[in-house]
Amino acid sequence: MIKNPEKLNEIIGQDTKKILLWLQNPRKKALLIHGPTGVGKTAAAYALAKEKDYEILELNSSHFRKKDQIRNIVGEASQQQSLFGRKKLILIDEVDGISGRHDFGGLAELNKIIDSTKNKIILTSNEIFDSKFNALRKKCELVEFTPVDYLEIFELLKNICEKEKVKFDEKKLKNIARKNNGDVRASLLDLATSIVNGKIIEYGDEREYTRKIEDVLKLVFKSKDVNLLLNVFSSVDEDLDEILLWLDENLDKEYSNNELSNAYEMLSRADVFKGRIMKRQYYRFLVYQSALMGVGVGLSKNKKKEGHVSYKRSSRILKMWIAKNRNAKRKTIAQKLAGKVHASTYKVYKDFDNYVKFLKDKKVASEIELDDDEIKYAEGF
Amino acid sequence: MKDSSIWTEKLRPRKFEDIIGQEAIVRRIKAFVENKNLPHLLLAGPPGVGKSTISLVIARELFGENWKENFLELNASDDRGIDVVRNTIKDFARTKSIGNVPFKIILLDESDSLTRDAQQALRRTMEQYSGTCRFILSCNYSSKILDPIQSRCTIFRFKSLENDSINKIIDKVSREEKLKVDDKAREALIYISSGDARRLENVMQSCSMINNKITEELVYEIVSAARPKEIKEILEFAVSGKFTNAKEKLLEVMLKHGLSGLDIVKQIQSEIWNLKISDERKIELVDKCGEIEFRMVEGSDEFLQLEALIANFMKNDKKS
Repeated sequence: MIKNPEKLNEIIGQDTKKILLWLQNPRKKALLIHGPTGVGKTAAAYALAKEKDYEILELNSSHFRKKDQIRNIVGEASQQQSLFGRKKLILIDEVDGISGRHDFGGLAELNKIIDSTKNKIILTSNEIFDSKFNALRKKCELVEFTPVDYLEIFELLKNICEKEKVKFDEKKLKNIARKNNGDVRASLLDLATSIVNGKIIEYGDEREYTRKIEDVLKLVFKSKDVNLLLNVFSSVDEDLDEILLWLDENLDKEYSNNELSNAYEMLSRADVFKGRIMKRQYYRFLVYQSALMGVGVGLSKNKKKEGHVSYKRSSRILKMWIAKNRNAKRKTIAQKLAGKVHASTYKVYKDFDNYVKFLKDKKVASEIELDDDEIKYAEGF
Repeated sequence: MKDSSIWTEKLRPRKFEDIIGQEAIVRRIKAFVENKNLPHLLLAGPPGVGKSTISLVIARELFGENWKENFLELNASDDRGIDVVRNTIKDFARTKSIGNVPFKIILLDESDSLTRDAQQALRRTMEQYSGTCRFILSCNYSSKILDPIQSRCTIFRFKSLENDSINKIIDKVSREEKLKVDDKAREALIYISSGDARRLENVMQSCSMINNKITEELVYEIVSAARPKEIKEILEFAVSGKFTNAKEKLLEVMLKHGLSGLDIVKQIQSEIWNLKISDERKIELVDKCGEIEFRMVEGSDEFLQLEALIANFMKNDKKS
C-alpha cells in the first residue's frame, strides 16, 4: 500500500531541485546526498532514475566493498553505456558503511572511479564529516537532507490513509509522525504496522536510535533538575564535542534574551575547557566541560519554553569547510599580489575587498599571473 | 622596467622629491643617502604612509642601476620564522655589495610580526654584518620590537598622511590616470582613506573600473561592501534581541570574507562605541569583548565564542 516515490517532487521535506540541477550539470559526475536515516536519500535516487528514465545500478553495504569488488562492479558500469540506449545511474548507498578494515581500499577506489566515470553516480551517507571522506567530499556535489518536519510527515500519512480508505484520527497520526523525529521511513513503517482491519490501532514501541541526542537536548533545555542534568550526557552515544555543536545550533530555539546570553556564557566556558583538553591532553577537564554544558545551560533558564521544537544537526562545520576551500583561492591570489604591492599576504588577504575590483582588469590579472580559476573567483566576488 | 598596472606600484614615488608628506623624515634620510652612509633604520607608523616607499627610494638613490642586486625585501609576516633570519638574511648579509657603496640593504617589512626568537637571532646578525649590510625594519608598532633591536636602530615615526597630502595624491592620481574627481568625491576619498595612501589609490583604481568620473556615490558604493557596516548590523540585531538573525549574519560574514574569530572580535570592539546604548553598558561590553578574545586564545571554537559575545549584547541595558 505504501509506494516508493516515483518523482523527485514526491520526496517530502527536502530541497530536491539541486538534484535535478546536478543531473544537468556535466561537470559534476557525482552527487553525495547526506542526512539522517529514513529521510529519503535512497528514495530520491530511485525517484530520479524513474522520472528521467535511467537504469539504476545499486551497490550497498550488504555487498563487500573492497577495492577489487568495487572496481569490478562499479568500475565497469561506470565506463559502459547501457544496452537498449537507456542511460545508467550508479547508486552507491551508505558510503559511510564502507569499512576501513574489511573494505580496505574501497574508498580510494571510489574516488578513482568518480574521476573517470562516464555515467552519473549518486552516493548516500549519514555522516560525511569524518576525515576519511575528505577527498570524496571535494569531488561530489553535496546535498543535505534534513529531518522532516512532523507536520509534513503527518500530511503524508493522512494522504495515504485517505487514499487507502483507512479510518484514522488525526491525533494518532500526529503521534506517529512526531515520535519518529523526522524519519519518514520509520513513520511509514509504523503506519503500516498499526493498521489493522482498516483502522489504526496502537503503533509499535518507540525506536531508540534517533531519539537519543534529541532527548538529551530536550532534557537540558527543559529541565532544571540538577540530578538529572549532571549525568545527562553519559547516556548518549555522541561525544561531548558533538553535543556541544548540537547545543550551540539549537539553543536559540529554546532560550531568548538573558537566558540565552547566560547559557552562551556557559557554553563559552565549556569550550575553554575543551580547548585546554586539546592543548594539554588532560582529559579530567571533561568533567567541567560536561557540567557547564549540562547543569550550566539547564540552569540558565527561568522556566522552560512550552511547545515542541524539532532540533537540527549543526551544519556549521560543513559550511566552514566549504568556505575554507573556496577561500583557498583568495589566499593564493593574495600571495601573488603581495609580492607586487610590497605588503604581506595577510594584509592583502584582509583588505581583499579593496583589491578585488581591479583584479577584474585583464592587465592586472595577467601582470600578477592569475590562473583561470583565480580569475573566475575574482570575477564572482 | 615596464610599468605595473597596479596603481600603487605604478605611481609609487621613485625619488625623494616625489614623496608627498613626511617632509621632516625625508629631509633627514636624504642627508644620510647623500653622505653614502646609513644607520640601521626602524620605520614605525600606520599602513600606507610611505615606509616601504622611502625604503625603496633609499635603495634606488644609493645604488642607482644596481639597486636590485643590493637590496633584499622580505615581508616578515610571510617569512617570520627564525629560519629566515638564519638562512636567507644571513646569506644575503655576509656577501659583499656590488658597486661603490660598501653595504647592502635588507628591508624587513612588517617586522613587528617577527617571532621573538627570530628577533633575538636578528640582533646578532645586525651587529656581525653591519659592515656589509644595513637593515631597514618597518613596523606598525615599534613596541613590538625587542629593546636591543630598537637600540641598534635610528627610529623614525611616521604619522597618518594629512588631508593636505592626501589632496596632493588625489591630484597626482587623477592627472596621471585621467580621472575627474569632483569636490564631494574628493571629500569622500579623504574620509575613507583615513590617511592611508595605499587604501586611497586602491579605492581610486576600483572606482576607475566603473567610471572615469569619480563621484561621491561611486566612492561609497565601492567601499560599502566593507565590513564595519556588516559588523554593525550584527550588533544591532543582537542589541534588539534578534539573536538568530545576528548569528546567521555572523557566520555569513565570516565565511564570505574568510575572517578569523580574532579579526571579528577586533572589529566588534571598535564598533561598540558607535552603538546606541548607554556609556556604562558600552564599557561593560568592551570588558566582555576582552574576556572573549582571551577565551578564544584558550578555547577551541572561535565561532561559539563569538556567539557567546553577541548573546551578551542582548542583556538588558539597565541605564537606558
